[in-house]
Amino acid sequence: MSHAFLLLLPLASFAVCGLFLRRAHARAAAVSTASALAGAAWAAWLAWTKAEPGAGALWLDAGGFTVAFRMEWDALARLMTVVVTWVGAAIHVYSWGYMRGDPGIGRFYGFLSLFMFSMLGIVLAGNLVMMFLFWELVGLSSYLLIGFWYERASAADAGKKAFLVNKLGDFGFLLGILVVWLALGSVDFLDLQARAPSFAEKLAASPIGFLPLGGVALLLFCGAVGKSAQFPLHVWLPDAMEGPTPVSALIHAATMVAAGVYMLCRLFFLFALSPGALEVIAWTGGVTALLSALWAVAQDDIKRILAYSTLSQLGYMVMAVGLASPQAAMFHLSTHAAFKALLFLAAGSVIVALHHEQDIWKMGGLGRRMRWTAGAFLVGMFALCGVPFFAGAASKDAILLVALRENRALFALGAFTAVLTSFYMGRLFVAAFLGRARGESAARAAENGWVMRGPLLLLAAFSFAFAWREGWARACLSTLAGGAPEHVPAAAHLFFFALPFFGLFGAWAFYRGEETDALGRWFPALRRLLASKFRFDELYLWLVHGVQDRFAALLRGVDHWAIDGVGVKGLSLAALCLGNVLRCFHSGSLQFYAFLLAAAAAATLIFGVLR
Amino acid sequence: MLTILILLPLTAAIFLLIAPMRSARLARVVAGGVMGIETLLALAVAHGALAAEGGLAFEARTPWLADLGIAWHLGAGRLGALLVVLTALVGFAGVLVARPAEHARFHHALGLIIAGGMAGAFLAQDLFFLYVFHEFALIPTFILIWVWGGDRRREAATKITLYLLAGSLVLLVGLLALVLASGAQTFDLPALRAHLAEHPLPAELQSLIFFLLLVGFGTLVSAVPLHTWAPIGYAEAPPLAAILHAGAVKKFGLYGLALIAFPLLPAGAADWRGLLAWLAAAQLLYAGYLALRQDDLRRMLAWASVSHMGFGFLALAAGTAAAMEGFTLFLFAHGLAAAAGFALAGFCRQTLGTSSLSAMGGLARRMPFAATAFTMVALAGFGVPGFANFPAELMIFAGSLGAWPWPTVLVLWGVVISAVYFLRAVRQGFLGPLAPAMMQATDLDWMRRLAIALLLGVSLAAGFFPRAVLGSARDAAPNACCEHPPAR
Repeated sequence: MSHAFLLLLPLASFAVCGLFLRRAHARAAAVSTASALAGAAWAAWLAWTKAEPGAGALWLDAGGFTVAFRMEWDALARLMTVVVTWVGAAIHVYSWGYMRGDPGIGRFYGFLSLFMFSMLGIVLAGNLVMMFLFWELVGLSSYLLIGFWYERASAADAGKKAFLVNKLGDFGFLLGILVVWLALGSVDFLDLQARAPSFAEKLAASPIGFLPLGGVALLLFCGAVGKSAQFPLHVWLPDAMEGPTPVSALIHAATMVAAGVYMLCRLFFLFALSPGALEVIAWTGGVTALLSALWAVAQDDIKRILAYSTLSQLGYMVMAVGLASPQAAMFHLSTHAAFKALLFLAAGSVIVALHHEQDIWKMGGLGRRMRWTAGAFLVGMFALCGVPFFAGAASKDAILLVALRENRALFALGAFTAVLTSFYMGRLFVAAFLGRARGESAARAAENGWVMRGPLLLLAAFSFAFAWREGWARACLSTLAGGAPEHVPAAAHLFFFALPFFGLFGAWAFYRGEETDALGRWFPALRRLLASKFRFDELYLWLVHGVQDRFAALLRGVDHWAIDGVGVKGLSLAALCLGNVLRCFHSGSLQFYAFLLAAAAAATLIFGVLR
Repeated sequence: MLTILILLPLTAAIFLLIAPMRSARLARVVAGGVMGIETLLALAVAHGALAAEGGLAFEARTPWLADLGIAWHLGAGRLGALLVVLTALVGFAGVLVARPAEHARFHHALGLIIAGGMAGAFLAQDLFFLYVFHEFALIPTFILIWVWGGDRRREAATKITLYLLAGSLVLLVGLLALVLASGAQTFDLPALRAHLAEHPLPAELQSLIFFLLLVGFGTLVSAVPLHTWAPIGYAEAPPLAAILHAGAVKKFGLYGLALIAFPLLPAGAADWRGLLAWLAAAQLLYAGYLALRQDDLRRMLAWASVSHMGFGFLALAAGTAAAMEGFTLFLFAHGLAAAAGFALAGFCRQTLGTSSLSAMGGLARRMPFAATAFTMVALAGFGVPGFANFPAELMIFAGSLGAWPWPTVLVLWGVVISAVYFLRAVRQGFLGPLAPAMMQATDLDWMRRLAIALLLGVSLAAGFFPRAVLGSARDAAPNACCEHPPAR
């Protein structure tokens, strides 16, 4: 029962903010932030004591399809809950500074609480249906928060795009869940784990036996492809930057997008049954990582660069799962949550200080004017790039090590992507924080208050490697199936350091002192190619307008002309015609009636004689 | 007790018709009061029906035409009671939302006749009264659309009435054939069920009669290709008619199939289940893609309503316990969401003068309640958790995937399409910059807010606690779902 508070607190906060506090800004912020802080503290306590959750309440029970609201509290859930609640609480505090003055703050905090409720629901879910339920709700929260400034056309469009692309992934996910239920007879994780060894035979014996095991695994993977924005369903994440920066930090960097990876780790015992599916998963992750890193090199908006960076890191996590190392994936997920949120919040700090200027080529010299933010950003950047002694190095190097052992091609891909990562992050840092101020607002930028600086410092502390070394997180990870991610030897760290070193040094050398993007001057064709993001957005637009809408128009034609036209109107026309013909017999003329009578009598006579 | 549920609205309707009152407000108070009492009574009946766990609650039987075997036999099964609650709720909301320009008391009287008729149809256990009570809804709908409808009301009223009349006649032929062929000399449903269980009809005859019932009930529930009455009918109907029809009357077709066609003609049903499953897929997809094309909000909602009937067909085709539980909840959930949607669309038409999505735009700024409510209707429409539609659809899918894998996959794709057109409607109508023509838009008044909040609130409650609506009966109750052997 005590675990239910983790869910009930944010739900209550959402209800209270949504129903009563939409216009009371300070009170809504207070309620929501208090619930987030209380949740974080409560989660830490429950994780420390490893308290057992109670048996769940029955929700649905229909003909063998039984769903109970049971909560999981194993090591995986504990780790993820603490990550989500703590990063969430930091961002709740930060938002008060960032969103100051916005007329919709009450609504904003209500939606944040709804998101916390939904995300924790995914983490705590004890069965597939419960997870799917909260999965959909997280998609809804994301829609509401991306489109928060709904009067802006681009924001409203981005929200719709995110929801629909997620729905595409959920299509496959739900199918996968139903197939699992049909084959194994339960959706509860404990039951599934017990019955997993016989999955292949049970699947073959079920009504959908024509589906191979790998097929089911890939259907489930669809959910992660959508939620974690893997190629080819990656198109919604960059557009999601239309939302306020705290939203980007919380949802589209640290937690929601990580839900896909969490699901893969949770269900790893099913994926492990199909090496073919794991291969597909690994390559999907790798390709996503590489492509997004390439595209990030040509982006000029600070949030977009970070968005593509998130895509790339998510690719690493998915690749780790595909390489049969969910521990490395979860480790990177946890460190990534800390340093990516840090990067986004620092970027938000910059954006607010520059009155919502987001183009890095209009910034410059901010290192001197906003020291705390610049320092925080530097820490986050080093963590992301995998510089030794920072958190990202520990987790990313673990993934690279696994790749080196299992799949050389993916290792090469991962290594190259690491160089690219450092390159575009270095480019961002050099352009925004070093050099001379290049715009009006950059010249007058000043550091923000402690409401925004505090969370930055907290997250920065978690971006150092020492926080993770013998820490409690590694202890959690070690109880995951397979044990902790293997300890990366120091020699390997040094070897892997070559990658970010070259990337960062290269960026500094290439972009130092530049006023505009040097890539555009030296290699304009390359920049154009990368900036086009290989035209995937255009492809999707064509699929929607060129294919889907045309097909709908065709069906409308069928409906209007064939079914309604020939069918219905045709019938009524036939009735009218028949009536018109029959009308001829009612001429009102006696002679005609007499003639008819005589004709009928004659016909009857002749007919009778002939018979 | 059940007789009160039927006679209350009918009596009030007669009162409104003959009483010489001119005040529209008084008419609304009378109608609203009656529907409110009806709702409370219906809830009590539903509670009793859930407690009866498979049997009939509040059964009452009075022989009438003994030679023909017709009796006044009423009984509340789980599905029937739920649909009566739905009718009452939807009727109450309709009264709150209706703003007839003139002749208010006739308007409300006709609505009450429809509500009373549907209550009778869902509570009747005698085929004769089941059919007759459903027919009560036909002419009032015609009059409501003809007098108080939109620009193309004459065409719409004629089309919907003639089409549904034709369907009803096919249904009548089917029902009569069933009764006569069975040799039981009674129209009583439980008696027929028992008789046909012992002396089933020959398989070909069952198949033929089942087909007649399928066409008849199918027309009433806008099965493709017998659906073209729905888009224009709902688009031109005044809010009260659209709400009552889409919310309650249309459910009769699926109710009849579940209660009559499948249990009494199992061999016949077996022949047609395949068609029904693929029809479900066609329904979701065909009507869904057509909903995408619509610019008028009311037409889009009409097509969406047509499209979602496919869930009912899929559940019936599968026939498993899970699917039928989902079926029961689905009828309830869909009625609420459809009613709320048409209430909002009708409001837009009346205050803004248009329900065209391209003319509307950015209305969330001027009409925040309407925007929130419509977003909720959209979310319920494509089955987002929280609303009752989610557990309902989930159970239908779980129950149907084993029996009919590929139709279920297509129906799932239809859900994705629903998301597309619903989110598009929200985006076009309510989000983005405020359209210049909409500067004077005002938000809903308290009565309409109450109506929509009631509908959506009940849907949310049922979505959070589906077992409160479905009861905890584990066995497939013969009155709430069909007893044909599951395919798995």
